[in-house]
This record gives sequence, C-alpha cells and structure tokens, in this order.
Amino acid sequence: MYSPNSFGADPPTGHPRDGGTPLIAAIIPAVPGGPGTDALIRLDEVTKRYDSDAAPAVDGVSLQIAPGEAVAVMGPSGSGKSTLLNMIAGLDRPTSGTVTVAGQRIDALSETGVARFRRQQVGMIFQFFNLLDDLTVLDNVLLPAQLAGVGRGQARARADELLQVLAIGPHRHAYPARLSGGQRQRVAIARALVNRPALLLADEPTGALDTANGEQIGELLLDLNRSGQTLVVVTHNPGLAARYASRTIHVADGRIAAGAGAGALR
Amino acid sequence: MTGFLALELRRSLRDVRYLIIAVAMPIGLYLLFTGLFGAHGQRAQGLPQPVELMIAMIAYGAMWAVFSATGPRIAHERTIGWTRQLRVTPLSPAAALSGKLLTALAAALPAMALVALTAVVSHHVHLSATQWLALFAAMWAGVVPLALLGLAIGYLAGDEIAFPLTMALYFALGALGGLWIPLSVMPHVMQGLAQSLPSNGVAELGWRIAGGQAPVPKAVLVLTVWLLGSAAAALLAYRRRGTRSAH
Repeated sequence: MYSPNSFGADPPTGHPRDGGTPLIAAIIPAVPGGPGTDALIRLDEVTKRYDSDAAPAVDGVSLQIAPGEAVAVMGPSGSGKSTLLNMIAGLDRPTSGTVTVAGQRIDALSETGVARFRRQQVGMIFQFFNLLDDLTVLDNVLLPAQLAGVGRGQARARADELLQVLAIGPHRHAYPARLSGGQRQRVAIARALVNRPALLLADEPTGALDTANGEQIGELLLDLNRSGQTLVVVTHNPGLAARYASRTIHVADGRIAAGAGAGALR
Repeated sequence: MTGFLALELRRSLRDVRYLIIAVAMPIGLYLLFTGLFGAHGQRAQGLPQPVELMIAMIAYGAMWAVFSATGPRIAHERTIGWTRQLRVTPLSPAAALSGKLLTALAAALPAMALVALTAVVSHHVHLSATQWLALFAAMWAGVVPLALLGLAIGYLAGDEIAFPLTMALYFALGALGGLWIPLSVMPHVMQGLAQSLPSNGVAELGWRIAGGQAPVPKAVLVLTVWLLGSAAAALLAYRRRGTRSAH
C-alpha cells in the first residue's frame, strides 16, 4: 500500500485535481487511486540482461510510483534509465523480477495482453517526436485511437479537444515539418493522451528542444501532472527534473543510485 | 488491425514514388513497347505481343508496389522513430509486421489492374473471366516473396541506402528476369539466371495462364524457394531490429 513515507522524504506533489488549469484538467482521465491507495507502478527486483555475458542493463531494481506522481529518472547514457521506462511501458520484458502497472503483472502478459495493456494504460513521448511527416497533425493525433478501434467521430472529438487545450488547434491541418520543435512535441503529447492513458511516459521530452521550447514543454507536463496525470520522465536535464518532478530517481550502472524516493528503493 | 491496414494503404497509395514507378511507368512502358515492337506480332512465349507485354508489365508494376510499401518506407520510418512509436501503440508487433506485408500486397492490386485495363483499352486484349481471375491470383501470390524481401531490406538497410538499393534490385530483377526483353533473345547463361529469379517466376505464371496452360513446376519451385528465403530474411531482420528497444 502507498504511504508518503514509502516514496521517500518528499511526498508527491501535483496530486490529482489540486492544481493545473481547468482546461488541462478536463483532458486528464480519472486517476485510479491517489495517495493512500496502491501504487500505480511497482517494480520488484527487476533485472534486464540483453546478453548473457554482458552486465545487466537494469540490475535488481525495486521501486513504486503512486497515482498522480511526477517522477524524473536521471542518469548518464547507458545507465539503464530508458530500459527501465521501456519495461514500465511493456516494450521490454525483465529477465527476472516483476513489473506491475495498475494492478496488472505486465511481465507475465502475452503479446496481445501487453498490447491491450498499452491501449488502456500507457501514452509515451520521445525526444524526436516520432511523427509521421506524410500525415497532418490531426491524423497523427488520431492514430492511436484508430489503432485501438475507437470510432472515428469519438476519436476526432477527443483529438480536437486535445489540440485545442495544448494550443495547437490552429495547426491541426498542417504537416509536422511546418511546425516548430515545441509544437511538434505538443502534437506528440496530444497523440500520447488521445486514448486517455493512466500513465504518461516521456523519454527525454525536451532533449531536442531549445531552452524556451523546453521550458514550455516542461510547464505543460507539470500542468498535466497537477491535473492528475501520472508522469514518469527520463531526462538528462537536472533543471527539468528539479522543477517539474515531485521525485527524482538517479540511475547508474543499472541500479538506483540515490533519490528523493530512496526510501522506496531497496 | 483494420485501422492500421487502412492507414498504411492510404499512405502507400498517396506515395508519389508509388504512383510514378509502380503505376505510371509500367503503363508507359507497355504503351512504348507495344508501339515500338508492333502490337500484332507473336513473341517467344507464343502469346500475342500485347498479352505477353501486359503480363510482363503487370509483374513489373506489382514488384515496385510491394517494394515501395516495404523497403524504403520501413527504413525511413525506423529513422524518424515511427517504428519505435508503433511499439507503444495498441498494435502488437506481429500485427504490425503482418500489416506491413498485407498493405504491400494490397498496393500491388491497383498497379496490376491498371496495366491490364490499359491493355484492354489500347489493344483490346481479351482473356476469359477464369483466365483473368487465375492470372491475377497467381501473379499476386507470386509477389509475396518480393514483399518479404522488401521487409528484410526495410529492417536492415539505413534510410539513405534503402531507396537506391531497392531501386537497383527492381531494375535488375526486371531486366534480368525477362520483363523488358524476351528470354529467347538472351544468351543461354542469362536465360538460366532469369529462370531462377522471382520476377521471371511471377511473369511465367501469368504467361502460362494466359496461354491456357498450367503453371510450370519450375516457376512454382523457384518462387517457393524465394518465399522461404525471403521469409527467413524478413523475420531475422525484424527480430534483430525489433526485439531490443533503443535506449
């Protein structure tokens, strides 16, 4: 069970519905729980090896993340932080240990089960936006909803709502190449949120942006979190972690090195 | 899966390279070759020239259709991160891979049909309904190994090299496979080489059906060997790229 102490000295801030703009709050799904409820993410003694001879990419990591938290994962290149994120997203399976998200043991699910899990629980954004350049902004945002089998009308209404709130509504019919980096990342965020995931994962979301755009995206992520969106951000940027995350986990050589949430990490 | 297929097909059919190389070029070459070599002569396959050339160009167009929807497209999508993003969507990896294959095959149909329509309109090519059906089914099935080969290229080659590599393969398979010039005018060694290529195998199926004969076992065998080899290459390439997340 979650208790503030189990997540370290700093209790999670940005708890659901205690902040954020009303517009942003309107696009966030109901949070399945909150402080005092079960962890949304729980990793127990998770190890990931890509090669049996090499050192593990992730080595015996245990951690918990509560609903509504904003957690930054920091560490040098090759430290295993992205592997950690990929295992939470169900993109990689641990070699040993268990990964539980929203009460589901995702390391034990079939490929179909993991796909269903991602549809219901996970939205993800990356450093380089990963937008299709031959589709308009609107079509890019609609994609995950279409792939999840959501009706065109319903998906369109949700996409329009997101584009409006994320301030890219006027660009809905533009192609990504015509947008700035910050605008493209907003499109990627809209796409990640279109299926109302419980969890938003971000892998270096400001890594390809200039300072001003990086700040704007950081503020947007903070606003999303204040409105209740659980957020896990992998970043090299200590400023981003300090300002926009309620807890920072430092990873080195596949292990948790230190962090505000050290109490939760064995 | 249906949503993914619809999306991929829409993207493939809007691709300018597809429209030019898979659709316009085979039609243009058909009209050029029938104009140059005469529309009434008999050629080596024992078929009227417009029929033989139509089948050669159907094979030619179908080849680029399946290549364009796989090799260069997948290589580009890997570069821009779309392949990685796709893994975060509700689509399973198996569905994504089979979706790419099905899209490529679906993209071949309009390219094939438009060459046939051109032949019917411009040279009054006539086949029975059964022949048309059998010809399309056999040639469509025959390009499956080429679609798989395109998948392998897409998952192995970089974005910069995938298009020229696929293009070179396309021209080589067309020229050496007897789609541009009849096998009978090629040197003996080249004839042997041509008969071992999938491009010739696809056309051979069509020529035999149009001539009222059953497909020769050799062409079926050649295509089966290419099918197995290409499927293995595509799976290996996909697993090499797909099982390990970028980090």
